[in-house]
Amino acid sequence: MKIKETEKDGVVILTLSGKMMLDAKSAGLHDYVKNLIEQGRTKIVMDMGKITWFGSTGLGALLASYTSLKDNDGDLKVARATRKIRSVFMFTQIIKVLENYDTVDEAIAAIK
Amino acid sequence: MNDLTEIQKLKLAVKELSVLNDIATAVSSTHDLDQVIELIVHECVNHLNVEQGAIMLLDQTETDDKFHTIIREVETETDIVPYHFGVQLSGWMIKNQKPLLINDIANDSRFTNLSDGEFPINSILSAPLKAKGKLIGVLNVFNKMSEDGFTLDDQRILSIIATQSAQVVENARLYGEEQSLKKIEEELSFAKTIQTNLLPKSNPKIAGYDIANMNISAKEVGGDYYDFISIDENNTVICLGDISGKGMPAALLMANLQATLRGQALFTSSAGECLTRSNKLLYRSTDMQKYATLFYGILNASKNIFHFSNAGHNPPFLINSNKKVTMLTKGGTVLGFMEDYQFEEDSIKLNSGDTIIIYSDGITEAFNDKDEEFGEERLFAVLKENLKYTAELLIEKVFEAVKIFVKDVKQSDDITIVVVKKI
Repeated sequence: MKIKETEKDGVVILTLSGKMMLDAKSAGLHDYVKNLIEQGRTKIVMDMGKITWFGSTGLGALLASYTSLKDNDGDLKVARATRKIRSVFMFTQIIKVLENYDTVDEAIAAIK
Repeated sequence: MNDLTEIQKLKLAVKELSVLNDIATAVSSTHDLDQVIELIVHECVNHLNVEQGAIMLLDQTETDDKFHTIIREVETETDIVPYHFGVQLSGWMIKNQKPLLINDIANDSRFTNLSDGEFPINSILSAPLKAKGKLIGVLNVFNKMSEDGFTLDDQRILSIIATQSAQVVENARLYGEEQSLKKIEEELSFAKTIQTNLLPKSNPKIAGYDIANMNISAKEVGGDYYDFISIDENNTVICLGDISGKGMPAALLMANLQATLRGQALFTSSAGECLTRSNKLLYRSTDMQKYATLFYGILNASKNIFHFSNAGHNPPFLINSNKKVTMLTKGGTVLGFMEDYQFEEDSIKLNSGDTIIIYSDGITEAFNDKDEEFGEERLFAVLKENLKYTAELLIEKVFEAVKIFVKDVKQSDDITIVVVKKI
């Protein structure tokens, strides 16, 4: 998995691409977010449109990121989650706390 | 005059041999890379009459940037080689792969921007360490303690030492790698033993029901967990989940989850309540990156009712004799994610011919060589086609179908399936 970072209107956008599975990079997502929190950047949108595979293991990094952000008065929104990701969000009921938006801009508007 | 030169030559040869002999004797006593390096450097410093020495190893680990060479310095004394100089020196060595002798480093055009006032090195002698023709590092000595600086004889002897030492250093490095690999393998096998011992050895025998399971771990220890807990003569807990992570942390979390569930299962006859309590306990005892999905069902064999609560596990399904499928989704989110969370529950009446299939995503997410996953639809199809068989045979049919689908692709995740049939 690759992480690309951009920023818009004070919101950090992490564009994730590739397979989000058990590897150092996916686990590193949480470290990446923790690093952002240390810099005081706690509003994050994850663009998941380019994730080609999302297993139960990728979810761990996402949940940990969400929890860390909430603990630091921040927030996390997800944009462009694929059908597969939405179905995992659905059956794990993560969807109730981690909202998905159709576009990155909608997610940014929601988090501001 | 000639005789004197011959004697000097002989003396030098004897000295060289004795250095090499000292190194050979010293390094044969250890396999430890740091010790081997320290011994070689120590002998060089002694015999060449220099202030300090260091071996730099090139660690050519493949990273995203294939041409980027990570320089790992192993030094006898800290900070001998200033970082920028180290980078330039190893760069030069990678390019030239031959000995380097400099007696006035401040005025050497090959190395620039070295001095920011007090540069600790004025003369240097380096020789490449090559094992099987490949550069593995650089042997350096610094600051010759004589007015003439390093000589060509020094260069020759350091080159001989480097040639003799390279394979020893490489062997020690490989030995070290092998040892740490062994350690990881030992830990994995230990974790696997823990995991295997936690899982039930046999299927529950319940009158009126046919119950079977199969669990195949991927090579690495994964996190599939399933359990049967007998509560009383009528009620049996059947649960199956997936623990995040792999290896020892997953095995320990599994042990924790099992102990928690087994404790709570006896206290409450409500599936939702059991998960609500277990979730709270797990949340407090695990860090945030760890979580588990779990389907928790209680089979009441006297009333033929199946109570269940699903904590974020991929929904099991019930197929009745008319091949109608019902997904068992009621429950809540994954365990260990939110501290106070009320899990919901549901119950279904079981009729003759009803089959409940509880499974882990290792089945639906088994990939073939086209990177396609087995998926729910294929699973439904093979189940519907084989409902007439016993629970055990039905599971075999599923595995066969998965095997045919993935062909030669290596299994990447645990596969677990539990089938409960009402006879």
